[in-house]
Amino acid sequence: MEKPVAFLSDGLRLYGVLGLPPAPASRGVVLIHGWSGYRIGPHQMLVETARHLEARGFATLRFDLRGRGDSEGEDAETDLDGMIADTLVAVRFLREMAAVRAVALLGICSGANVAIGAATLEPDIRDLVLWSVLPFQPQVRKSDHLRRTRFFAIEYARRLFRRETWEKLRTGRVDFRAVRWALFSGGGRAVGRRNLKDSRRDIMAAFAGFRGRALFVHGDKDPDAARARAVFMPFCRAHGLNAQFHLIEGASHSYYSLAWKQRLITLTTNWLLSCSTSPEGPT
Amino acid sequence: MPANEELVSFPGAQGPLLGMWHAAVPSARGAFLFCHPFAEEKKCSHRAFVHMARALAAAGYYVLRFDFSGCGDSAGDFAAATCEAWQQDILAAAELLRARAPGMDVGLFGLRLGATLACTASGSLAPKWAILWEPILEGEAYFRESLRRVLIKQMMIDGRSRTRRDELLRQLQQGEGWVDLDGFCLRGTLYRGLSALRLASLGPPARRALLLRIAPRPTIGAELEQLAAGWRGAGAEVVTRAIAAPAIWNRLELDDVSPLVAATMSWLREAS
Repeated sequence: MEKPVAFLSDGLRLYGVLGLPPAPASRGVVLIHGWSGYRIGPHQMLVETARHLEARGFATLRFDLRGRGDSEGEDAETDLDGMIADTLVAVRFLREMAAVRAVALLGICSGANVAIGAATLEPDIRDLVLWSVLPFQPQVRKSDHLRRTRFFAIEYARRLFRRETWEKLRTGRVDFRAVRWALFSGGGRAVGRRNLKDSRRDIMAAFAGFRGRALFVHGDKDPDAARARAVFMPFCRAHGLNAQFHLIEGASHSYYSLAWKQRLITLTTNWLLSCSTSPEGPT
Repeated sequence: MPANEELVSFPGAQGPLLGMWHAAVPSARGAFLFCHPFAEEKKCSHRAFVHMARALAAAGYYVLRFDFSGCGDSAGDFAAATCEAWQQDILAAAELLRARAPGMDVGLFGLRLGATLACTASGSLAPKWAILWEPILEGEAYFRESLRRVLIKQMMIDGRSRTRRDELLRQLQQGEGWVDLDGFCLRGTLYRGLSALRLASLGPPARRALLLRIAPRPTIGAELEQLAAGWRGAGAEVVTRAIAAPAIWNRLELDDVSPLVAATMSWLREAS
């Protein structure tokens, strides 16, 4: 059974869908969308995953982070720490609504980074499913920043020379806040001010002490996969983290095919069902 | 915290549909029904729909946004969706809109294929306004283009495309055929229903209509002007406008949609 829900995080109303299995659930999963998506995920894969898990006895909550989807909050002011705060509220909300204690986090792309960030603040989160996780910003090489900055600079230089830009300037129709955001954040990758995708905390340092289990999945045709695995694989080994790494053959960053999506959902469900580290033990 | 927004669930063609109700903030002037675009375009444009709905609510219009059967959070399987079911969903949503905003003038808002679908269902709604953002004029041409994009994407990921567009079209034109449209199972039944849609063959969707072209280099184009002329000939007041904006239905980034919202609200002030 699915039910639309709303809850407050930092005074912002967040919206989502709660999924409850036919029999009382013993475990829950909070699903976290990517940086600019919303709760259904690419090709509705978070909806399909939630329904698949509900049919196998999990309570689920898919919800919109602040400034995204239906939720309140400014698009351009949403940052990683805010998203992590929302996720912790969502975990408490699911625990209460479904009367479950053990809650796993499942995130895609930046949503997987949010999941890691949340798990480092809430020791009861023991199971992490990380689809196409990215390296955290401090781990992103300087060359990536330079490449992106150059791209945005060229893009805005081009716009600067268009007649309508000058017309807008003349008539005062330019939204300077939006321009500043676009120029200096590059959709989350700030050049001149704090990076919205960056945390105020050192999440990787905190993650070193994570004592639950993590499932890392990437598509082998995802251009970010190699970079992410090069960061997380040695890190997990060095800190003795209980982590499994999977590659889905042929898959892109957002798994845009029915076959990849099916493999991802099956892999994830089997892994969650086999989890033995939840506070209540295996079900 | 504006508590004027509420997720709602109501019966649709294939089970409960999920929608968002926006209550009008000042005294109400009318009520709008939103129809989302097709497949992944819906996900990409969702936040734009939220901004448009909030602008309408703040100007005194009720808004109901909802997900078609098998789409978004609504019940049903995308693979089982049909054009007829989606048209029934629009009527079911209109019923809820009328029940919550009794006696109000009704408006339709749609983007891309959602705009086209809204027009097919407008007959029984007698809307006062229709706001059509970048409407799809010909269903068949839309799918040819969509399949081309899928093949280009395959080419970029794999270095080769696994099949040809004509082959995909053949699969869809046959009885039980289906294709994998970027993770959506597009069945022949749905394809055939939607590809038969032709906006020019429908009468004007409302007494007053805005046709908004959204393109990086905005020109209205002969086809849209022709459509507008046809609807004017049938007695509707039709305005065409072109706005320079990225293809918000096809982008991974969150774009600033305020120029689109501002142009729409400015038209509505004139048309109300």
